[in-house]
Amino acid sequence: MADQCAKEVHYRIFANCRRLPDQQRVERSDRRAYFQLHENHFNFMKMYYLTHFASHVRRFGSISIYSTGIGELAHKDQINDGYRRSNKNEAAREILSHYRHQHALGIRLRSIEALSKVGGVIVVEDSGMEMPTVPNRRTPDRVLKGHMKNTSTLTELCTALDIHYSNMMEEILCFIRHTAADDGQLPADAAELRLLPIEGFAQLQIPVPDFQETDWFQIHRARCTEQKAFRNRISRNHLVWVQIGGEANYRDLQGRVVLRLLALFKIRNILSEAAAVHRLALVRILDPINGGRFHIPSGPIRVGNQINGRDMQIVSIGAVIGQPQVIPSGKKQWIVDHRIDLRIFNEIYSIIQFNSVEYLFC
Amino acid sequence: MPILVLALLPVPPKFNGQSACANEAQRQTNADVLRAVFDLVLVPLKQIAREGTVMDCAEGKTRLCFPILSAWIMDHAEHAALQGIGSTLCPKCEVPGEELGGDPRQIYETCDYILYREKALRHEPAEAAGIAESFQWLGVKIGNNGFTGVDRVSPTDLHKPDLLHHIYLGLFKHMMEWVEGVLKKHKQQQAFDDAWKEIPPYPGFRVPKKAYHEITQWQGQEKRNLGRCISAILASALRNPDSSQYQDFKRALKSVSALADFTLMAQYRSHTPDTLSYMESYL
Repeated sequence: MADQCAKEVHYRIFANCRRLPDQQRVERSDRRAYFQLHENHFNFMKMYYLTHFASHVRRFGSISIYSTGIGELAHKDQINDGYRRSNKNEAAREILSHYRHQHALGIRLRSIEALSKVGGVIVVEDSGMEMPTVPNRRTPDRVLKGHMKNTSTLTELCTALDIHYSNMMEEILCFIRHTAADDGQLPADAAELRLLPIEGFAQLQIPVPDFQETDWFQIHRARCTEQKAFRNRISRNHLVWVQIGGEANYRDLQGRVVLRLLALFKIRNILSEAAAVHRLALVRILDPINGGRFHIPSGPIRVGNQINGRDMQIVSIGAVIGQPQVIPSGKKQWIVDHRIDLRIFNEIYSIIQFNSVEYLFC
Repeated sequence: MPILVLALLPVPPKFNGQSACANEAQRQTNADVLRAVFDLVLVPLKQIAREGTVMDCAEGKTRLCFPILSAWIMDHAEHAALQGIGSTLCPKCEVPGEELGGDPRQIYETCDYILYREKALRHEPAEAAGIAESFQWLGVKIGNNGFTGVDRVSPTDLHKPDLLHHIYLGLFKHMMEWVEGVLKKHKQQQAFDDAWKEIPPYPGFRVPKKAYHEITQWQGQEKRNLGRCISAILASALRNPDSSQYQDFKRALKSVSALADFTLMAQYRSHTPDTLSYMESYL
């Protein structure tokens, strides 16, 4: 009998467990209906039309090609410029023909350019002209710019940066130990390192490929002017993204960290035969708050100054992958704006999948 | 994308406001003139869609082609004038005027402009009242559609989603009014202004020069920039909620982020089924 009772209780508990999500769902839809009835002021066409966007993409393709931005621009390009160049007498016809001429020439040039990319030399029909081929765009390299004076050895660099020499040396040695050994590797010895010539720089240009493009790049210019003023304003030490770990650490950030650039320098290993040049950056680590996860109540990822432990690090500039957009939020805390461009938005993406109902009410 | 100027539309005289009757007459004349101009513009297209023409193809062959009007890119108000629908209604489907903010998963019947035209042209005198009533319910003005006369064109599909007017100038404006309301209610305007001032520069992003409340006129570009940074600014402004504000702030941030995410998704150049389902989930 007792056994039977226990079974029944057990069964009820399980039944309740199963029922709970249903109940929640009903409650949610009730709340949603209430919200729509009483607090809703979204009753206008532009709000509703969003529901057609996805089906439109399925049938006709990308949305941005249908944007009226082009048409609005045409008011200036075609009508205003056309009128300005006419003799203001019977202007309508002149406006109509003006842009057509411009446009036909533009299209012709573009098609010549496109054709020349495909094969060797092409012959332009009717004219017998030969167009040379344009070499395909290649991935630009990271470039260091803005040579800094009085930074020819590590000691001088440390003085300019106001950093203790032993700290700097420790970081470099740590970096050398972690990199793979090859011919041009830097000597892991403080006395030898001290003698190597270095050059300090103020700017790092990082080519960042455009989103969903292969041969267009945007140049991010990360500056670090050390203690000096930049354009008569306060000194600039920009933040950069650096790819450090795999996806396991800093999960939502996909293994990248936000760092503040302190110094950029080249160091040449004259002691080895290869005399290889290493391009390095001294950076200060900013700790991702909440383990680099999306902060559930307020959304975005935050980073802050590291409170304890080693806060500086040396990285190779090859690991620097771009600049983040951060917005200050309180003392020594920043919000990483992952919606700043499509590329970042696509890479740093909230793993939490929002159900549209939960989205509003949880 | 090649753009050619086909015609310059006439600018109608303004309503002089002397009497309602005169205004109505003027409105009718304007509509007729517009209709006549569009008939004139679309005449070559009508013929060519029916009979076809020989055109050069990209690979060097010539083929008999039937160019068909497939998109008409313009603002919603202009669309409403040309399609002959009420300005608050959807040009794609027959959604009632009071359900526009309703459940996004609800599906309504598609507008069939050709059917409307047939109804309007071939009605019996006895049915006239019924038809007029049904048209009024749908918000369609009788026989005013400029595109129904062109062959092989589906007037419903001419209307395209439009990032500039729909999202940047329409929804972002609405969102900012709503955000201002939230900030005012919780007295966080100062925090928002402070965060607005401290937006750092970013490649391809124009930092606003003025304080938020000083901006009186927005350009499309500025609105787009706003959409890119608004969620972070708002998160910064609403960073210290007390216990009573916590739920409100959370909800506000989620709604704003959802719209920002949707907009960014809509700007993608190529889509996969996954991105589309994400887009739908943001609604």
